[in-house]
Amino acid sequence: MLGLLGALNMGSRSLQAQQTGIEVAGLNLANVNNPNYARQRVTLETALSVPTALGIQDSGVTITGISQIRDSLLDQQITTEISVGGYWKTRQETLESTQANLGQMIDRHSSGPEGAAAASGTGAQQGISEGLQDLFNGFQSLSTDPAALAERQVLLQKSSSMASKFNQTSDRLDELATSLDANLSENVTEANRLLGVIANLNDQISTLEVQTEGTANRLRDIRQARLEELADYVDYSYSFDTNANANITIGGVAMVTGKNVSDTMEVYDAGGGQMLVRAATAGTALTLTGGSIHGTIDTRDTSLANLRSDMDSLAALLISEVNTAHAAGFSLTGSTGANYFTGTDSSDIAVNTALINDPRLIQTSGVSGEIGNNTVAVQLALLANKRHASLSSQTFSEFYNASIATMGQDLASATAQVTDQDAVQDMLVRQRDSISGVSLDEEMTDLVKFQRAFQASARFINTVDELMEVVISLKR
Amino acid sequence: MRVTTNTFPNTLLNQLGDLTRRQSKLQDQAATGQLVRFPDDDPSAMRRILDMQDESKSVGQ
Repeated sequence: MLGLLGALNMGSRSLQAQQTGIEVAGLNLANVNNPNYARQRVTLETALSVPTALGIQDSGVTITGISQIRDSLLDQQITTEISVGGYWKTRQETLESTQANLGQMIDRHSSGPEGAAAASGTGAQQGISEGLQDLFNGFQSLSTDPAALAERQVLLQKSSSMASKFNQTSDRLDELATSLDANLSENVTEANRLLGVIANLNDQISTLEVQTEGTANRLRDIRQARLEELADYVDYSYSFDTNANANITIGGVAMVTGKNVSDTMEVYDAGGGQMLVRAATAGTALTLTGGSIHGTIDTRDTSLANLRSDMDSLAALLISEVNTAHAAGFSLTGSTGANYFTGTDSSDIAVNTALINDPRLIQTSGVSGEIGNNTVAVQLALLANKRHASLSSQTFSEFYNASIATMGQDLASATAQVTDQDAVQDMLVRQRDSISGVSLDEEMTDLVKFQRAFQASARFINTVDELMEVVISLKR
Repeated sequence: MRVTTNTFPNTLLNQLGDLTRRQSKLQDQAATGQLVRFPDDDPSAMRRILDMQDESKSVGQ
């Protein structure tokens, strides 16, 4: 026997419990499209038991808390995969710009025998591969008629256009590297900001959870979202301590400890303008394996750097080989010893301006005074098929084509990795949705359930009230 | 597995994205009449095509 007043109390606690149930269902429904939201549940327990004359009797229902449903292992897996995905996405984007910057593509309609004539008239966009071939074809044409000024003009024009293709490619690759460095420092700044935000959230969560019962669900949702944002920039490991702080370690250096940012990342020059990332306070270089920061560094220092050095060694060897053959020849005016190309690598390769000003100075003859002699022109034309030890025993064109193919291979595999990674992430997110996601059906049934219970509890109170009225009217 | 409200829209969105990507690739191929246009379409084929183009040009000369 609780007594009538006790029963009335029980009824009012029940009303509260059902109402909270309805509120939480409403909260879940409101957040159904919030991607960071983990569904919440009211946990109900039987209320305090009271000793009565009949023995122990329970006094109704009590709300013990509103908890969110999360699988922290799954959350951790997702952040790890986001880092891997961030790496490959950055790599893919970077290589896509590289490919676009190279401008090397195949256009069947302009490269076929019937299309070549049309394309040469329209100035179709072509890459270094075509430029190299044009150069050697120019030497070949000149060897058939070494004294002809027209052939010399054509050769010079083709050589200049090839040289400027090298210059353009070099400039573009430089620009790309510069913008990658800019991206890198932006990303590091953003990651540092997130470290601060997470430390601040740790502080708020632990303060709130110490002060009051239950978990700070909203703040935890936000923190998880920030952790996932951070994962896109950099790979890190995190663990929760007893005060529910997320402690973050990047590359072995503790970055967030409790409510404090114990270290941050900074970009530094590792020598020769190579920008890497280190811990600002500890000063140790960070070895990263994922995230867009590592993607930027890795792509810049492998694929892009290789392509760059391939272009430079190709241009350097082309300059020295053509110059060696050319310098030994004699021009129409009898001069000798001049270089055909000036410059040292792809950034500054250019045709000797003296030759452009006076095409007669191209040294094609093997014998001084014999303007019809084509020995040197033939030598120059034969360079097209010469295999060079320093180019892995390939000709100039083959070396360039192989280098392009390597870059294409890197891009193709990055694209494949991005697709795979997307699939992995999708599966994990689906799995998480199946645990933390809001289901409209469930919430609607909950609404009905709690509403009916609310009505019944109100009815119960009504009944107790009537009983009390009976008791009061006894005295009349 | 518990299926939630956003499971279906997410799956649909991913699938649509995937199909659009493939479709655009096929449309590119149909429009140009070429299987290989950029180095990443088929790197090793790209290399052989460029080598052959060079050879055909020097023969054409």
